[in-house]
Amino acid sequence: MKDDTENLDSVLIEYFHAASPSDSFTSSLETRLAATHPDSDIALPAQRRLSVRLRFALIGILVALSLTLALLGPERVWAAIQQFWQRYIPGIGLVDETNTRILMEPVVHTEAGVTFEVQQFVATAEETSMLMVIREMPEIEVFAPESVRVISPDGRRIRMYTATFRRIWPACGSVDCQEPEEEPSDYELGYVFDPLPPDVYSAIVTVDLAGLVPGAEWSDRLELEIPLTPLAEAHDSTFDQLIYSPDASMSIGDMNLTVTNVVQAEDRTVLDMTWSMPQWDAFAQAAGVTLVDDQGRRYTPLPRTMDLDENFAVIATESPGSRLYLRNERWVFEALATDTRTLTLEIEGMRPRADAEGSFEFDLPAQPRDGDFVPIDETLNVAGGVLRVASVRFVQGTVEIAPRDATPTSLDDQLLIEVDFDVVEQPPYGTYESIMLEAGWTGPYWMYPDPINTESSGIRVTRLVYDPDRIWSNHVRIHLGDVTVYQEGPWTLSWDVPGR
Amino acid sequence: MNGGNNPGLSDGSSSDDELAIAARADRRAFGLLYRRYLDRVYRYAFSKTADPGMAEELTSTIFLDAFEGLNRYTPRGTFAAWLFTIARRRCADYHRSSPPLPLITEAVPSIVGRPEYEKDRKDSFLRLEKILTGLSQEELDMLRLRYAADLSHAEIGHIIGKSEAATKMAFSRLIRRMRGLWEFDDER
Repeated sequence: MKDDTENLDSVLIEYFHAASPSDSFTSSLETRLAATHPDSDIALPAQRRLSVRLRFALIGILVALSLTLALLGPERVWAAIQQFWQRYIPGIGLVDETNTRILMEPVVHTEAGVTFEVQQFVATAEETSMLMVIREMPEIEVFAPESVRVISPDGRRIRMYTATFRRIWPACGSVDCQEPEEEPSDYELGYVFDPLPPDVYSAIVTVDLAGLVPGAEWSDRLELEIPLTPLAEAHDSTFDQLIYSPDASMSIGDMNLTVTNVVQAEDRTVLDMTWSMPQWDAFAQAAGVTLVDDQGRRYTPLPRTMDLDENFAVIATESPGSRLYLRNERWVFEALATDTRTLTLEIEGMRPRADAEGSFEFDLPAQPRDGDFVPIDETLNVAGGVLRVASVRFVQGTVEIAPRDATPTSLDDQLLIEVDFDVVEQPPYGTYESIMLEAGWTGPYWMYPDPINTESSGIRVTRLVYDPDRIWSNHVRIHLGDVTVYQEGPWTLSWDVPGR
Repeated sequence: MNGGNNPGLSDGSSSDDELAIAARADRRAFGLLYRRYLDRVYRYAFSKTADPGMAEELTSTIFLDAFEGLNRYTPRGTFAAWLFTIARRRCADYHRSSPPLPLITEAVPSIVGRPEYEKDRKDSFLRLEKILTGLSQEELDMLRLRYAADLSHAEIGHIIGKSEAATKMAFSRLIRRMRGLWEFDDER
């Protein structure tokens, strides 16, 4: 039997936990912090961001007011008021129009075969947001977010607030898309900086080229001039948008979905939603989503990249005896016809998914072989329901493996472990659909995304490959990883589109 | 830390957000956050530098930045993600002039009185570092955020700009790949 240090997971934890701060450092930094005064004079993006949301709250009041005045036909006024305040900018998200300046056309520069494109640059009273795409960039050795800076016309560097950095994967029309074999060489950088001064209508974006462009020296720097136009004066048809808050809700079992914002733009329709789910911190994935207009035209969600204003944080709210998890989500559809008067959101089913965080243990037969059976009889609370682990069976079978950088192949005569479950009690969010089993000893097959599944009590359960060379003790543990629950609908949610 | 008087605060029962809000006026509240996060921030900085002195310097900078920037934090249950966004930024400054993967095996403190265990541990660390040297910067950073900073998938996703599900999937793929390399190395 090999000891724990040979287990990758425990070594990773030990490796990254190997150092700790000394007591003298701990107390000296604490003293230093105690003597430091927080800078109360710095700008407050957090509060300014809240002001955007306060405006949305105000919009909610206007919604109520508009309903009261519905007989007088105030919807046009209501929509117009919201359009006056808000605009949706792809890649950035919803921005306040007041005092907002934007880049009207992308600024592009190519250096040694690497293309830098500032696609969006939005300066609001609250913050400065930028979306930059770098194409054909060689593998990055070191990337520091501060390689990219924003300089105001008076030469002042605008302080960075947050940065995101991601590869741009080829567009995929389905959730089943596989990753391409080669990693893409295009990257998307999203930045949020402090606000530019209100009277400024241009900025300089500088990029330190070392590490991004082949052969660049540390001192090589690219400068891009960014002309800015007041958003209120941008008469581009892109900004002919209808933005409103239908505040429409529906319940799906114990889950609740509220559509908080709708943007109907020239090239897309954006839906912002909030999911709430009691007790279980699961990622809720909707299946079969369609937006239907009053003419029967149907729209399905488009694959997309994220906007900078999206917030994926899970908010947990507590009340005595219960906990509620809230998540935000944004869906994008094709543009709607301009004569749309009513919208209906249809959802065929919901798949909440999260770690089961359960495990069971058993003793292996002396020399496991095809047909061996080990009774378990252990109950586990999983996703609010109860599962009974009935037994473990050993079966001879073939596994398909798809190694990275190699042709998919199959291996015959493998000894596989199947686990039989009985459903004692279904979870409150639907019925168990799939369970992913994990074990530290399952061998190299497990590192590939191989859907080795079997059915047990209607649940799709992964099988584990038994490899005696990797099992160091006859007492083994199997973890229940991702569990998916399916709640069948359909559900529909309708709202009226305010007049433009 | 002293300053301010908020008897309702305690390290065990107050959430990060409650402490972060309170810390805008009460330095003692930041002291609680400091103690809650010191080890994690230090470990993250150490994993980026393999240098105890530099890790202390970076840790100081990170906490001072966080303290001074508390007014910028929007309390949405993402304090850890916000703090480690600062940590990543500060460590990136350091990284501009250092190797992308500092190897920490030789830099970690020894375990006193356990020479046999010490040797096994060092062997495991060296074996792990062979795998780590083949990973991308993004992958290394995910490991640091997960294992050194003890962040959740949701918090890591918040920092690297991916959804929780996408982060979890990417992390799961990475661990599977590493597990294969680990076991492959074990067989040789």
